[in-house]
Amino acid sequence: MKTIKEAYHFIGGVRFAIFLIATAALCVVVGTFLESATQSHQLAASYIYSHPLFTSLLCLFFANILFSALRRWPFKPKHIPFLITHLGLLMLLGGTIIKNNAGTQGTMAVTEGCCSQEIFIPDTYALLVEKRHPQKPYEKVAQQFPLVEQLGGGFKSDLKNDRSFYQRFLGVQKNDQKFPEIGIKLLAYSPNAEEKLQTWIKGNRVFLKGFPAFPVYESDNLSTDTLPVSITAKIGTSQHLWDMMAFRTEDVAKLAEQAYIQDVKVVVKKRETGSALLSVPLASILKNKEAFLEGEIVGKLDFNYSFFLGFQDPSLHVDLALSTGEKAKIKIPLNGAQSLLNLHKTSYLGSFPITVDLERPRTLLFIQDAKGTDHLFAFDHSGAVFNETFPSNQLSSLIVYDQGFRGYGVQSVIPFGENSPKRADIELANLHYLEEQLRHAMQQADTLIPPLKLLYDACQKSGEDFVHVFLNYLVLWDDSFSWLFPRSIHLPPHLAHTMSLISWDDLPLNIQGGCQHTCHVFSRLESHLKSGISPQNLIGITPKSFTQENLPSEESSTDHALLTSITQHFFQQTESYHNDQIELPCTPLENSRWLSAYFRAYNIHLKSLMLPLKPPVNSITIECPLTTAYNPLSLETKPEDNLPKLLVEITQNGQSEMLSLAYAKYGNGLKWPTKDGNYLLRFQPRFQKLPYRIRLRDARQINYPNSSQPLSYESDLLVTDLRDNRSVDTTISMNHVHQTWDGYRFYLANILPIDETAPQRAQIIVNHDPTKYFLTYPGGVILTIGILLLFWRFSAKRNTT
Amino acid sequence: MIQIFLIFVCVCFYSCEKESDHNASHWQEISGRDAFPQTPYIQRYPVYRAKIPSSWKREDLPSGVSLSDTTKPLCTFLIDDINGQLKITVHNFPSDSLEERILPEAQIQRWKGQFESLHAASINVIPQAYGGFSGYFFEGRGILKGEETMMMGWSMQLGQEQYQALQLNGSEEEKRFFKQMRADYTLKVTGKPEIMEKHQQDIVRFARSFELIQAIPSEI
Repeated sequence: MKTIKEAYHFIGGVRFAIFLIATAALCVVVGTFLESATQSHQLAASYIYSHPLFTSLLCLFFANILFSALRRWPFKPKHIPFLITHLGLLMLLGGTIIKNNAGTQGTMAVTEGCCSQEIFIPDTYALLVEKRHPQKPYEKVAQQFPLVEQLGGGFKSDLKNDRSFYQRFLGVQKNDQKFPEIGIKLLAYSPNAEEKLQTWIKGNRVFLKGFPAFPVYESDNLSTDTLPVSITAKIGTSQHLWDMMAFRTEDVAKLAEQAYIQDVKVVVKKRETGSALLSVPLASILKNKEAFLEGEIVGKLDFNYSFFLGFQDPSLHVDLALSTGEKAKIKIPLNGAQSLLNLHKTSYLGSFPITVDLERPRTLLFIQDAKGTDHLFAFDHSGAVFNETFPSNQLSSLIVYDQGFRGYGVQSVIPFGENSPKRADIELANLHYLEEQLRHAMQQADTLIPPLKLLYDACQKSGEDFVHVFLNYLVLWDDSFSWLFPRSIHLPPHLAHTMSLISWDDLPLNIQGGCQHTCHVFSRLESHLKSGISPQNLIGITPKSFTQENLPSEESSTDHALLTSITQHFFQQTESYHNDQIELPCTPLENSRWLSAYFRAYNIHLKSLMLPLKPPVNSITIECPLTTAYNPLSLETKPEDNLPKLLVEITQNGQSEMLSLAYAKYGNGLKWPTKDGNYLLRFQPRFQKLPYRIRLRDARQINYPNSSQPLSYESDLLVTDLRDNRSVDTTISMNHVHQTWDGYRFYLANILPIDETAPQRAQIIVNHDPTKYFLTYPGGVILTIGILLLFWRFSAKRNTT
Repeated sequence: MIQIFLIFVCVCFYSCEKESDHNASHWQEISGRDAFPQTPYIQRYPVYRAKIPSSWKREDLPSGVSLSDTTKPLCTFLIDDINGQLKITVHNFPSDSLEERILPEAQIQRWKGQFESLHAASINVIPQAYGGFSGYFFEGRGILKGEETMMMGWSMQLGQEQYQALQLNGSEEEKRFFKQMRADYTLKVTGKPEIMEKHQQDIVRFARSFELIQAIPSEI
């Protein structure tokens, strides 16, 4: 009895109070340092604030205050201020202890237009199990099984017990069971693991939907320089065979380039006839000059592939030199809007008489790098390239099969379909597109510019279709690879007839003189231009009157602009021409040449009119199943950075299946199917239902006036109390919390995306202190009154003495 | 001393904040298009709701008239003013798949094209997102049918995720209802610039309150 009495006085004594205050202060100091050193609140909470010893400390505080008050028994009037103060303290402490154990603190994520009545409690663990509703297959039956984390890691469970999961360590009653037919057993737990999303390459095989798995080769183990093809097969409805190659390497760009070069042939053709002059492997023109009947060719490949940016203007550059002295540096882009076209610096002269095309087998190339990222390359039969990257930690696409019950997949849409166009097809399509545009423009145009009006009038006389004649003329001119229409070429009859009817007589003298002078000058310059000499260098050998001083300097920045300026200059020399100097053309070919000079003065040429046509989407789609792989990792300093992983065994009708699940920290990861797609499982935080349903109507950023600087963030909510179905419209913001009558508080934490380019998602923190109104707040008021009374009593006592 | 302290506490805790009732608006429901567009049987579900100022007049087509033609508005609101009248039209465009939808930008281009001439400096196109929909707000002034006119319009469509969430299986009736919920919608107002400016705040408030009656399922 004496011991109890001593203990009673000790617990209620001032020494014990001092000890508790000192211990609490020490804990808080350690907690603060810990949090500051590790930048982890969770670590400080787990070691200090949420630790059972700290909770015990609060309970001892409670006992100390209670006993110190009881020690005054029997109470006298003079004890009233003291007792009131202690009552306030007890209410505050009691409120804190109850809030820690029965309060709510969680996060709700809700998208505009959607609603939610659940919050997830951070740093808690649960296993979500779902199945189809037996009567309504499009609805799901779901149940979460909370897991209790044990001190020192792992979860509270009895792994050796064969009873079903919910009976074993969750204590769910039989009547509440939604999944009585299955048992779930926790086999293993890893406190930190790395989750890798596996797409095309899984282990040493490539899994492509609709095809047998085919092997992946380690690039280091290849004995020959020739890269092996894993399989050859048709894809989808395509009638063409595709070579499929798969490798694992550290240098993706090098291997992809090697695979690309391996089977490509370069075909050199004569533009006029389309006849092939040379067909050699790309590798050979990359090493040496290759000669053909009319010239020689050498090339350089800029594959330009990088992990972060993908392809950056991949292109083949070839230098062509013809025996006629014509030269061109041709660039062939391998993807993009101008893919496969022969582009060259002297394109203002027209198309080069020789074309270069690529030919290769259609190929799908899968490469996995050291980080586990899958790189998919597709090479078209005409040499065009396509790439898509599938990082192991991020989904680039997702296909959900049957709400996830049949699993997930990723896909790639490859823009090389059944009849993907070659260069010649693209050029022809561009020409048809131009014809269409011209016909449309002719319907709307009231007046034509003078050179077109001249041709139009000739067409009216000949009865020929203007657009048809104009395009034929432009194509013939473009194919001649010269600044003006060639002097010796076979004109089709309809074109020759129309050209013969062009009437130059009515045109002003400067036009006639300009045409004549342009033809005269360029007959001397054209051979130099064709041989690749820059017009800038040619200025020195032109007649004195056309030297650079006479040219508008701002227009002579490019070769094309310079030549156009020269031509336009000839047409501006009004006073230089005299009637007796002009000899009007008298043959269709001469007319054609004069007309081309007139066109050049107005910058009219096939290349300047051509609008690149966006090729129609002609694609094939390939798919592969999405799976995950896990690597155990050592624990991170910050517990927040750890990704726990579970291995569970699901048993049904005596048959078991194992499934690995990584922790979905925000409760929004994929649910993985098991047991032939009858169940979905997810390892997630514990979700808690609220008595309120929150609908997010509008989330927005408020800016300072006339600025894009954010002033505030706001969210319009519709809060419905599910107990009486009453709804309240409210707006929460960074400084405005919504509080319900029963103490639920809703704070706006985050809005994503910030701009209104897509429906926004708001993160709302929900807090509920059940004791706030009858313990915490009244406790605070009572404590204040008690302290005031204590002061009053002391001052009254001092006055009396 | 204590009295002064208590008065000080009271002053500190006094809140000046008052709910201002600046908007005498009330929620009104708006039906979608015909559930059975290819048949003479006319059934329409209430799909949308919005806060409508009490001074606005609403005009609906008679219940027996089909609304399957998407050129017909779901409903029209008239705003009477001393200087004239403003007309707000509400359209929706139901679709069966994501690919069927027309980009909101295309709708904006169409509106621009309706002007005989449009003052370039008055054109304002701003991205918008609310109620699960995203799209553009368009504002412009110009000559329309020979008169100086101001136009404001919202061309909105569901986000991809929200659209897919409404493509879930269900009963036939649910499927028909979800199709109306998935529809793109447009709100368009035209009128004299001075009247538009006067009622602009009310119109914007109406547009930003426009939403689906039923919440979008949030989980696939």
